[in-house]
Parts: sequence; structure tokens; C-alpha cells
Amino acid sequence: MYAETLLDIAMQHADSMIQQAINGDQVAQSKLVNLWFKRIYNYNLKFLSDHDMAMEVSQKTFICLYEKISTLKKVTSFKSWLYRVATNYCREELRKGHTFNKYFTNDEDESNKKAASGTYYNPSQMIEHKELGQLLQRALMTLKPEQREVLIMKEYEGLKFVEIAEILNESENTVKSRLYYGLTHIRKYFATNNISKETLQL
Amino acid sequence: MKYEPEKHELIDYLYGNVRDEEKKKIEAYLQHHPEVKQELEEMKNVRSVLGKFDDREVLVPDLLQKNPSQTTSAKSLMTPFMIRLVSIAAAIVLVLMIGYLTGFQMRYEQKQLTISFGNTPATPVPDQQAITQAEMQALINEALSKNKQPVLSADSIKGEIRSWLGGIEEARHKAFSKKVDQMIKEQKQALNNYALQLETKSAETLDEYFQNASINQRAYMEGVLVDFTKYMDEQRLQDRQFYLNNLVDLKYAADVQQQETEQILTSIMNRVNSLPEENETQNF
Repeated sequence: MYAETLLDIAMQHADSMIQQAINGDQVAQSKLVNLWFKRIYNYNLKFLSDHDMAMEVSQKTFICLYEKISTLKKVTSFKSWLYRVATNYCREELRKGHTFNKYFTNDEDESNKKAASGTYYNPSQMIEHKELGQLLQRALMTLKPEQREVLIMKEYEGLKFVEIAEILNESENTVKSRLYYGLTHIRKYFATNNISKETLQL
Repeated sequence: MKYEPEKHELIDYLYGNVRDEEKKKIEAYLQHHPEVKQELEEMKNVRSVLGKFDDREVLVPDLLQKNPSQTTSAKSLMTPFMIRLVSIAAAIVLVLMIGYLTGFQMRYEQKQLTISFGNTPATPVPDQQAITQAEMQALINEALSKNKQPVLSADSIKGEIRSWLGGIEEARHKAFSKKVDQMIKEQKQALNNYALQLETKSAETLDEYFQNASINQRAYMEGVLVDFTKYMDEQRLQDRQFYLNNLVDLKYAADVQQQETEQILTSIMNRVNSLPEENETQNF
């Protein structure tokens, strides 16, 4: 669930900084990058399930910020604009046909290889928290891209339906329908893999 | 018509975004459709599980710390190996430069290592021949003989020095006073000359002034006389003209009077002449 931290609060109240960035203040632009990079990276990571690709897309997103933020007309449009740019770059990577399996970096990969098979889980076995990330990531990757992006934006980025609709240029009802089907699919995935709150010891 | 909520309405219900009226309708529907209610419950659990997916911490890349469009290249060539290589090369170049500038030289000649800076090292000075003992003795004897000369007493020396100093002082005093007198004389002469110069110059200036003044005055008087003469001529001309005009008028008037007089006389004569004829005709 989306948890509001101090950083998140700061991001919500950065209107003056966004305005300065639109006006060409490079210090303000740099501050915005520092504020938003983690959010956008995690969004891209959940969407692409690949650390290197997520970093590359994130860098492209913020290079675009430096180049194009002056064209932004309203301060309130900044958040939607940024996510739209990131989503477009993510879709571009999908169109290139990359296989995204490298959720963890090289250092983490060795220690998590045994968790990748999926048949490792026994209903009576307690799944450790460190494997939870990959498990949920695999669940997300079973979704269609349009369902995945809606679910990530709603469940992890805390965006409102109206904001998601603006980012994806769709109606709110379409966004909600996609979310419904996405949650239904994840529900079936969990049921198939016997994943529940009890097995996760949550 | 049976009410069946749409998918987006169920999502609104799941996320608590429904108004009370719609919420009651949906809950009434769910009461009659437990499988849908079960689905929603499971979706709630799914959301709860998904919420455990923590964000990963990440650092902002250096590339993005400032505007990348201002950097010359997105990828830097200065890896640690390159940095080390460049540092070593810079150190070698620096040492060579210092050696060149200081003229550092190192030679190995005649089993000797010579290190020098600047000019080539000078060749060692050959040893000079030592003074012989006899020559040394002769020098000593000469010095002693000089020293054996009678030494004057301190008082006489003082007296001599005093008289010598006195003489010097007197001579200096004389020379000094002479010089001073001469300077005074020269100064007086200079002052006299200057005074004479001033006198002549002032006399000349006055003469010049008076001359200029008289010339100016004369010119002025001449001008005044000329103007007066012109004025008198003009006046004379005007007067003559005036008299002429008057005479002309007078003559004209006289002529006119004469003519009139003649006319009058003529008319009188005519009348007189015509009077007897009228009388003769009346009688007939």
C-alpha cells in the first residue's frame, strides 16, 4: 500500500519548485530530480521487472525532464506529465521485445536463484520476506501491460483515478475496469500458487 | 430491472469512493450474490499482500545531478585506470619540465658521478705552487723593518692633527665666505639688471600706450569730423532742395494767378466789348 512519508509530503508541496523549474531554474530542476527519482525508478522497476532497464528508463525520463519541462503549462500537471513520460518509455522498452527477468542486481541474483522456480513453495512453508519482492514482481508480470500500469499507479504510486486517467489518456471508468481485471488476475495467480496472507505470515 | 453494478462501480466500492445511496444498492446486490462478495473480499486480501512490496532504495545517478545537456558526453571516459594513467603521465611531464628549466645534468666521467644544475660544472682549479720558506721569511723581515720605525707620541700626533684640521677649517671657511660674497654680488647684479629691465620695459609700454591712445583719439576725431561734414552737406542739400521747391511752388502760384488774372481780364474785356452790340440789337 502506498505509505506517505516525509518525502512524499515534500513531493506533494513542491509547487514553487516546479514553477521555478518550468521557468528554467536548473537548481530547481535538479532538486525535482532528487525528489522524484526514487518514485519513478520503483514504478519502472515494477513495470519492467529489470533493474538495469528501470535505471535506463528512469534516466531517460529525467533527461526528458531537463529538456522539456519548460514546455509544461501548469504546475499541477507536472506529476501526470512525469508519469506519462515514464510510462511511454516503459512501453517503448516492451515494444523492443526485451526479456525482463533481472529483477535483482548481479549481487542479489545468486542468493535469490532458488526462489525463481516457483515450485519451491510448499503450502506449509513460510515464505521469507526477502523473497516476497520477487514473488509479487512475478505476479505483476503475469498481467497485461495496460492492467499492470494501472495497478502499479493505484496501489504503489497512490495516484487518484482521475490522475491515472489523465496520464493514460483514458476515461476513469476504463481505468477502473482495467484495475478490476488486474486484481482479479492477481487473485487467481495467488490462488494457483497458494499465496495468501496466512502463507505469507502477514 | 435487476440492478447489476458495473466493474468500475465495484472498484469504487472496494476503494470506498461511493456515495451512501450507491453503497446501499451495491451491498444489497452483494447480499444476493455471495460469489461477487467473495471476489471483493479476495481482492481486498490481494491489495493487502501487494502492499507488502517495499520500494527499493536507489541513488540518483551523477549524470542527472546537473543538466545532462550541458555535459559534453553522457558517458565519462575517466575511469579509475585512466585517471591513474593520466596522473602518472602528468608527473613524468612535470619532472621533465623541471629538469629542462633548471638545466639538470648528470655525468659519469673518470670514475666520478657529477650531478649539476645550470652551466656545466667548472673544472677544478689546479693547485698553485706554494710559497717557499725563504720568500716567507723575506716578507716577514720587511714587515718588521717597517714596524721598527720610530713611533710618534700621542700628543704630537694630536697636535699635528689639530693644526692640520685647523688649517683645513680655515681654508674651508675662506673659500666658503668667498663663495658667499661672490654669490651676493651676483645676486645684486642680477637684481639691478632686472630693475633696469623693468624700468625700460615699463617706459616702453607707456610710450606705446600713449601712442596708441593718440592714434586712436586722432582716428576718432577724424571720424567725428567726417561725420559732421557729411551731416552739414546733407543739411545744406536738404535746405537747398527745400528752397527750390518753395520757389517752384511760388512761381507756379504766380503763374496760375497771372493766368487767372488774364482770364478775368479777358472775360471782362469780352463783356465790355459785347455790351454795346446788345444795346444796338435791343433798340431794333
